[in-house]
Amino acid sequence: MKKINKPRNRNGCPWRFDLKMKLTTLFLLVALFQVNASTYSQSTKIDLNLNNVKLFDVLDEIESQTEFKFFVDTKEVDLERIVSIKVKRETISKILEKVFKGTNIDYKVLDKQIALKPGVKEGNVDQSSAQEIGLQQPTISGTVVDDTGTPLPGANIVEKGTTNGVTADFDGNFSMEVADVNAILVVSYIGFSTLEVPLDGKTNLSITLQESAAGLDEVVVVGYGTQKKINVIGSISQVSSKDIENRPVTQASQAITGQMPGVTVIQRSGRPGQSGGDISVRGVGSFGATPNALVLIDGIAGTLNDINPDDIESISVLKDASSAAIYGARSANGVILITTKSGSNKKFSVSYNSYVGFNEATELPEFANSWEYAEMYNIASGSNSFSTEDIEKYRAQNDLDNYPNTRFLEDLFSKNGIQTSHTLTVNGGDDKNKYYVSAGILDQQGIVPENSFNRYNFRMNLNNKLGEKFELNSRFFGALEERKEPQATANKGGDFLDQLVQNAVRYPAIFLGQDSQGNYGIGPESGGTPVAWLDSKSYLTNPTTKVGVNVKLDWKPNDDLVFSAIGGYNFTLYEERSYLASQRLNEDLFLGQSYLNQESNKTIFKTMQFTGEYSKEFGSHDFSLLAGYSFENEELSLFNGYRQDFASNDYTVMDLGSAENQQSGGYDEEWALQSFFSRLKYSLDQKYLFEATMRYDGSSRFPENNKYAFFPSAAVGWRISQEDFIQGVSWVSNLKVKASWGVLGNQNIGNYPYQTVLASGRDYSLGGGLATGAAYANYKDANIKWESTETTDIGIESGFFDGQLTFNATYFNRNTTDVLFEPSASVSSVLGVGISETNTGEVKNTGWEFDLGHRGNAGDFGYSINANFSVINNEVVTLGLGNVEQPNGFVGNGSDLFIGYPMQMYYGYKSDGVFLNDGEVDSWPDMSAVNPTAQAGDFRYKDISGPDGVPDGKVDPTYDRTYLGSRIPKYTFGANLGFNYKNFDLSVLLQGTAGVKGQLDGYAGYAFFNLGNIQTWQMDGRFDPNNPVRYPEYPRLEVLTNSGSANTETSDFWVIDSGYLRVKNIQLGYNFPNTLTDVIGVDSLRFYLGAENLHSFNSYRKGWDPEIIGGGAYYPILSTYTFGLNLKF
Amino acid sequence: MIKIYKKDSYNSRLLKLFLLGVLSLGTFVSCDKELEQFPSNAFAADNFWTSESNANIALTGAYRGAVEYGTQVVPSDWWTYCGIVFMEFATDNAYDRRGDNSTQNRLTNGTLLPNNNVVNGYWQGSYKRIAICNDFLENIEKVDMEQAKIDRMKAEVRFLRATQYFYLSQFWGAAPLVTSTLTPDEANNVGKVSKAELVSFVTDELEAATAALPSFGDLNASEIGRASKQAALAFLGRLYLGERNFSGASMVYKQIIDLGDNSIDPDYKSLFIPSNENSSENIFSAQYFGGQAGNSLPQHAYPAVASGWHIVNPLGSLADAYGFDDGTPLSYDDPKFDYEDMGANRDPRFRYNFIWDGATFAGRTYDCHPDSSGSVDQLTYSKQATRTGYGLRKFFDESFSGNLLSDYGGNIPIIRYAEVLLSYLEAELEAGNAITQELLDLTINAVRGRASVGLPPITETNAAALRPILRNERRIELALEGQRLWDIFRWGIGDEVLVGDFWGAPFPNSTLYPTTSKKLDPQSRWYVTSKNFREGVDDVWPIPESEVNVNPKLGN
Repeated sequence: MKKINKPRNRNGCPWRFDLKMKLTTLFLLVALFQVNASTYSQSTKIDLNLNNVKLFDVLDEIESQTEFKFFVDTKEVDLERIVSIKVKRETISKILEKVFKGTNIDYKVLDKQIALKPGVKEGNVDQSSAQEIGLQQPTISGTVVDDTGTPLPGANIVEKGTTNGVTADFDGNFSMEVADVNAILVVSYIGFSTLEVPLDGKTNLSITLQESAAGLDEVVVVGYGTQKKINVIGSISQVSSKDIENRPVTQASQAITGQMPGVTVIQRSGRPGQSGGDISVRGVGSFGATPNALVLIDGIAGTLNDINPDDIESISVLKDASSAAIYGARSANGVILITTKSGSNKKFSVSYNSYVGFNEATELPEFANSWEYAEMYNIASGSNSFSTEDIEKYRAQNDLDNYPNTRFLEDLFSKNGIQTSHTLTVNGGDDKNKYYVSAGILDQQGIVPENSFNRYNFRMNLNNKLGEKFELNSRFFGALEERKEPQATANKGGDFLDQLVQNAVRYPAIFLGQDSQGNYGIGPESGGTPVAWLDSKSYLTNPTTKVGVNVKLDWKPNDDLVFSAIGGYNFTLYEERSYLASQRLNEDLFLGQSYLNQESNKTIFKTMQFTGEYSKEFGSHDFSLLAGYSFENEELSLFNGYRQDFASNDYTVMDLGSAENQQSGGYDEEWALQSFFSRLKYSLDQKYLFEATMRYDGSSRFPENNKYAFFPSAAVGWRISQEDFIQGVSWVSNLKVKASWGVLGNQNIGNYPYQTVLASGRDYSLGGGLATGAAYANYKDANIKWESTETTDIGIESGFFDGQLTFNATYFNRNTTDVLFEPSASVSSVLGVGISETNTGEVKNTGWEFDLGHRGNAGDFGYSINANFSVINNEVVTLGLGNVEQPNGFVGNGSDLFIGYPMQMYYGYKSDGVFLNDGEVDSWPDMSAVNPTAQAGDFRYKDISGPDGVPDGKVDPTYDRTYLGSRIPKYTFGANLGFNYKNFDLSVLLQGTAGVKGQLDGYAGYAFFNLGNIQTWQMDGRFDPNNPVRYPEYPRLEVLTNSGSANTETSDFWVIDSGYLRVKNIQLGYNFPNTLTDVIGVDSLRFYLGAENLHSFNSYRKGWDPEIIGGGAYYPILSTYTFGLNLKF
Repeated sequence: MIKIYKKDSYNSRLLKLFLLGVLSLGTFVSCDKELEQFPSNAFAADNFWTSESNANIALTGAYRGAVEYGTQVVPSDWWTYCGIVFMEFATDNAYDRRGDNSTQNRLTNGTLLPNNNVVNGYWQGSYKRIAICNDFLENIEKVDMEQAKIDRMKAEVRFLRATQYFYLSQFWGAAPLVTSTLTPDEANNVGKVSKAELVSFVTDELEAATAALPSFGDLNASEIGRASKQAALAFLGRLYLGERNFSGASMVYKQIIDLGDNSIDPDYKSLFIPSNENSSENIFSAQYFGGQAGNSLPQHAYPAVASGWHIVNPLGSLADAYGFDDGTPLSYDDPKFDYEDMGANRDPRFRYNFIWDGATFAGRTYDCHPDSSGSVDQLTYSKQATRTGYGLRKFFDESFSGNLLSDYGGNIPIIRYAEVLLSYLEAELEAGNAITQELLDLTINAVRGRASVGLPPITETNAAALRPILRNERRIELALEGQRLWDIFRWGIGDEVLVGDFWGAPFPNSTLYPTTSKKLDPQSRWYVTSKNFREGVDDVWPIPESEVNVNPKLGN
């Protein structure tokens, strides 16, 4: 069929048009492509020599030779009519006159569009409006909106049974001619249920589309292209900008938490600029090579954390082998495709999104007061280190200079950090040239003074049609980021978390922060306290500059074939300057050391990719073949310098440090990947779907003989809902079963894993100076090869009641073999060196993913629910080299990897409360191999086994430790609830995990750990010999070194449930009614109140967010409360 | 068909051409070369063993062994300050301020377990240095250089490797004997060899090394820190002493004396600070270099008043082993004893090695009195300060000013000539040879009679009576140099000296002492800890639990 277009209606305000004109001049690049074609019809002359062909072919030939497009009403114009024409260098008017000689068909040339219609022949070219030429056909107009009244720009309106159609403009308005007043319009829009609207004689329509849960028309971003969701047979989850907008997340990975089944995001830190979290797709795929998902931003590898969330159009996660296989070498752990927004051919628009809010810690631990600490320390140490008088003086709090009660942690995390974000977007274009330009500013203040993260984002996405057959997509982007943190002073060294935060957790309240004279306390280690350090001139700045270009040129030699060339270049300059200052604490103590570390690391990533795709329909056979080549290369060069003994803390550039012991260092690294890939898609009758992918990858990280590997995959699908026998069942709107299989690769290891080297830097002082040394330090496997993951996936997709209810379920089985593992814990230290990656071991992830959607409305009230739930069973199948059979039957490395158990596991004792008195120790199985001096208040570890497989009367590490749980959540779930009523909207995102364990240890977990503090829960719940209970909340108080004690051995007392249900985000918005926005001259205006990480329900330790583990070098997860606005004009 | 010029056609054709070009480039000119990458900051093993300068780089790496710089409480190597000095925590010489749960304290207080990380640290450090040495020995012959230089380097590396097996044999007894680089599979399947086999291996290796190593006196300034004949002989002597081959030990020590390159330095204190650390008394030392290879002991052991962490706390038991400067043993009741200044009238080595309440350290007054609640060094069980009333002065140059963590370059002796002389006397005595005054003067009296110590000579020639005198002299002379635990093991006196209560300094006039000290003592000494050494258990270290986990053949 001839593709027939209709002129588009324009309906803009004059002043907006002016603004557009002004701004258009700014976008010179865009303007360059604009062609003034008013004289085109006069100047364009062509040759034609066609004999006995259909009129259709004549028009087609004209279209192919020129830029003209024909608009034809096929009911009036007989395109099958046979004609002949022979002209040489003739204008279009003359040609058309000849062609339609003797018919009643008239033509009008409007710009480059030519309308054909019956009428009085005039044969004139004029510049009048489209409407003027359609007088004899009914012209209808209308507006397309969603159920909240928001216009749906770009909605398609097609007259049923014809190809006559238009798209709605930016305000959702459209206008078109129809054949007759009783025509039926088919109105569709991505993500909404398609609606058929009978005109019934009306000429002005208000059409409301319901969001389609079934998403039958939804387009999903897949590898190297997009695909209609209904035809997708892989497992792909997608969230659109709607699901992440207005969230006060600084890093995009936080935005997808809880949104998609099978995608787990664990955020262990709220540290500004470093709070991205770990994303795992369908479990943790490897205990060797880094099991990170591949993140592609518009087809180019990148990270989620430097992109402005406002620029994201969609995030698509390819979870199964068949959908990810096109990225074979790097896709074993899933692929996250980010598509940034692009310009539209609609009305030019400017939008401004902004919020302001503040941060606070979700949870903070509570520590004992100084007098309580002193009392508890006396108990723990069995001494009177603090006399009764001293304790009373602490309690009195009237001599705080000498008997302070300093709240180190509360003081450190005391700030309500302000967070603001502004994004300004300009969007527009025409049919040929589109642009999207955005600039964003994010400023996040931490909850610690002098702690911030800010980011400036810029993006310009251009889309230009070059001639008829070429299309150029260019994306230019840049980000400037800077993280700032306070630090401890030079005598402490370390970084912000290690020293400043960890010591704020550690130092008890009895130490002076700052006295009334302004002197600082020297702390337990004579190096000051976090209070002093925060006031010091120490700092860390970490500016990062990223810029990139991503250009894609498509060439469509004909309708079936498209060739694309993609070039990408990303430049990252990571700089860090860490100055640790000298400081005066008091009259007696001046900490004189100071030093500066500065580094500058440059990364240049380059890629080029070429693809060709041929698609063709042969009757009921739909077929497409893609082939491509990709090359990726990254070069890193690192440089660092060190100077010490700065004369002044105010002048902290390298030049002003002492020349003594100045140091510098640097090196280069590089890796490259080369890949050939091909994909075949085939469908029969739109019912039976088939897809196969092959990829052949080579990596610089593997030795000559194992450089290349082949990764195949295949998938099949059956759209049952297309079958006749189900067409009659009206309440089933979609039903599809699908299955896929494939093998994917992983090479996320160090850059030089197989080359045997002597490690440099093993210098030693000989001859009175420092001599350069090198030593054998790592056992390398010279024959390593790709780690590969085989995934099988079976799923069902369904939609009911016109998509109002949807339900999907998927079962998957991922089996990773040849794990690229450094089995250091599995290798005896008799080897004497570290061990580099070798292909050993196997890990399996199996699980289920479910999602359920429902939407509905009652009058003005509308609601939607999208819930997802995943079960992931992670299991180590074998460690290969590390398979050491333990006497207790566990096979593994003896510490944290065992066959048949999940990775990231805890291995330790089961406890059964504590001894009530010393006498009980003798009646309990012999614990001397764990606790030779067991006493009242110590844990009773269970005797669970022995040499004969039964309890042997002895508790020992060999037989009585067992699996206690894993840090990998077994269950993850999320729910998006949306409500709207008139102009109000409310959204709630709930998210959680279950079947997961966590442990707080060190300063965060244990009282009096290495001169550390005591938390109130430990104090209140401690074992009290005078009132002994079997299951106290905390065992006997004791003074611990950093090696712990028998009671701090890993046990089920410390490894606790860290599952939670979190109110991740709540947003209440108000859309100003059009009557109001029209007055102030904007298109739409919305205000909202939001809260991120509002609350979590959990049974973790008091004062600690359930995602925090470890020993106190941490940054609390942040709650953010915001007020924001979205403005469009 | 005639082509018509359109506005875009020229551009289009150019673009087509370009696209075809790049497509064919991608397909036919693939980037295989880029897939060959090699590291820039390490020495590729294939072309490393080529030159003398590279051989020197590797030799330096063997001396470095498993040594790591910065503070450490778990030894990475026998020859770090932690590996040497902190081993004294397991003895009656010192106490780890971190308390009874400290894993050094636990080596001998009756709570040693196979997961003790200190035991594991020494174990791993040994095999790490052994692997480096094995790799060196397997490759050095490839280097094109003078055979004499190769032979010397080999001797040095065989010496370094043998010292590790010396330690393994003395602390664990039976252990794997690895003399070539292993594959992971091989490493996981090694078996233990008997102590006798280890001893025989060490003996052979040290004898071979002795033959090829230069004498101490022939080391030039650029070779400071490298192994000498004397160093190899001294380790051989230790091995013989440990194996109760006293006549063998005696012969070996006599060889060192006869070589005549080493002598007792008149200035005891200076042997442990940079100004005189290259004295000929220091036969072999752990080498430090301020800045990038600095000694962090100052940070760890300085008193709080000097911004240190005070981890080293000499026990009263050691302090009291230092008699008066007239050679008489210590007694609190003796009028020469001054509670206000415990250093008065004492063996000068007490003053060189320790600090005590009221002493001056680095220009500051050290105030550790239990009543001084305002002092950061107050003696309590809670502060990051002394737990005994004593602190460490040995090894410190008090004029040092710099970063305590990294800037101090003071060496720590591993073998001193004083040890050689005392060991020679011990070998003679235990071998049952007659003790002559001449022998006493050559050995113990040279050590205690040096100018800066000046104690009266020993004249006791009766072996049984001399033995305790010699052992005490050895203890106080070599205090905190990492010898005591091995001495206790080989003398078999753990059940005598490592059981019961341990005390610190006396504070008879303290008002807080009676309520603060956990236990009270008639002599008002501060209570520190109690030990419960298990003879026959704690004197043979367990193979680390993590090792047995992966190789059950190593089971204890």
